[in-house]
Amino acid sequence: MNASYDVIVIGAGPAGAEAAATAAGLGLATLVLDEAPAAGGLVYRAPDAGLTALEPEGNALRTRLAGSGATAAFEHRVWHVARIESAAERPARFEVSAVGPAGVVTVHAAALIVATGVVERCYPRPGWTLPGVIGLGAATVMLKAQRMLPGRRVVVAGPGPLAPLVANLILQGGGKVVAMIDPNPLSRWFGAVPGVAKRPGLAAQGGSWLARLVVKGVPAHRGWDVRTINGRDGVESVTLGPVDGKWRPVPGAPERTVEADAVCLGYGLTPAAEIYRLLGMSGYARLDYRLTDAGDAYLLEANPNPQIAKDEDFAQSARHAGITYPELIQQLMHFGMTYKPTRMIY
Amino acid sequence: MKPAADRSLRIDGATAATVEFRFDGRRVVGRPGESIAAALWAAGIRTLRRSPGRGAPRGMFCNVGVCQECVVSVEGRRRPACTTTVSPGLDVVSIAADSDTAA
Repeated sequence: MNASYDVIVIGAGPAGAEAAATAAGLGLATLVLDEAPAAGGLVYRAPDAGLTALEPEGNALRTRLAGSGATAAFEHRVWHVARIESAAERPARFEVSAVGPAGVVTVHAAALIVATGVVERCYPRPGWTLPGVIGLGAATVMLKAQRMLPGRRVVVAGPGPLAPLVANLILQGGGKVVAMIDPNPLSRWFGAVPGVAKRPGLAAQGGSWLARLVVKGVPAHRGWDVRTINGRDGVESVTLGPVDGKWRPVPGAPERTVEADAVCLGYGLTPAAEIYRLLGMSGYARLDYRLTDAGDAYLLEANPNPQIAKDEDFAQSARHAGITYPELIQQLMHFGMTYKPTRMIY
Repeated sequence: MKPAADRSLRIDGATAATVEFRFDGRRVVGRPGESIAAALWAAGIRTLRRSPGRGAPRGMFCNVGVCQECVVSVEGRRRPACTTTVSPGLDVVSIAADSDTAA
C-alpha cells in the first residue's frame, strides 16, 4: 500500500468494486478498502475458503477487480475520513485511516468514492439479545458464504423479499422453518419496505421464493410479528401475534408460541451514511416516492443513493429514460462537482 | 430448545474442519478460513460473552462486524468473533460480565 493514491474507494461491494476497477482501468492509482476478506459486499458475499459461491456474478466481479490494477486492502476497517484543505503548495486531498491486520494505516487521495452500502434495520423486543437471534443479513452470510444453518427449527421474520430468501436457503440446506412471519399483508410489500422493495426485480424474485415456501408447507403468518423471544441461555421458543398497519401489537389478540432454536429477523435496509455525515456532505440525494392506494404521490424518504450499481433499479430506471450508465455517473459527478451549497443542514 | 448437537448445522461438507483452537479453554475445531463465530456456531456454542449489567448471555447477531455483540478476547485483544478468522492454537476467551478491560 502506498501513502497516496489518485482515488480511494471505501467499500468493495458491487458498486465500490466496479468503481475501483473502472478508475484503475482509466490509469488512475486506485486503492479500495473493505472490512470483508474479499470483494462482493453482502449481495455477492465471497464464500469461505474451499466452498462454492452460490452466485457467479460475485466471482466475475472479484476477477474483474483483481485484474484491474487497483490495490485492494481487505480486512481493513475505516475509522477516520477527513478532507484536508489546500495549504501552501499542497492541493486539497482526502485523508483516510483504517485498521487492518498489520495495524493502522493512513492514506491520502485527491478523490474519494464512498460505497459503503446499507445496514439492516432491526427493532428491539423482549429476548432479541438471546444467542440464536440473528439478522436476516447475518443469516444470508451464514447460508450463502459459510454454508451453515442458523438452526434446525428456525423462525424467519421480516417484511419483503429477504425473509423468503433466507427461509428457502434454510429449507435447501435441510433445516426446518417453523414459522415465516411478515408484519405486512402482501399488498403492502412494495411501499412499506425500505431499501429492498425498491428493487422490483428482487421483489418478483421474492414472490417466487414465497411460492416455493407455500409448496413446502411452511406456516406463514402475514400481518403478524415476533412479540417475544424466549429462552434462558439461547432461543427456546418464539411468541407471535398480530400487528396493525404500523407494526404495533394488536392488544388482546391471540398469540401463538412455537418451539425454535434460532430466529432470523430484519426490517429493511438503511444507508450506511456515517462517512457522508463525517464529511458534512449535502446537495445530492435520491428521493423515493410512493403512491397511495388512491393514487396520490407522497415522499417516502431521502437516501444518499446506496444502490447505484449497474444492475440496480436506479441505473435501470435511467436506462429506460434513455440515459446510459456512463452518462448517468457523469451527470451525477458533474452535479456534485458544480453544486454550491448555500446552507449546511448538519 | 437447544441446538441439536448430534446433527451438524453445516450444509456443505466439502471442507473438513481441521483448525484447532480454544474457547474458554475448550477445544474447538473449525474450517480453515472461517470466522471464530462460525466455528463456534457449528460446534453448538452460541453464547460468546455476558452483558456487563445483568450478566445476560450474548452472541453473534449481525455476522458482518457491525454490531459488536460477539466481541471476544483473541490472544488478549478484543475482536468481533464474526470477522476474526480461526487459526491453529488461537486462544479465544469470552468477556465476563464484570470485565471492563480486555481479558
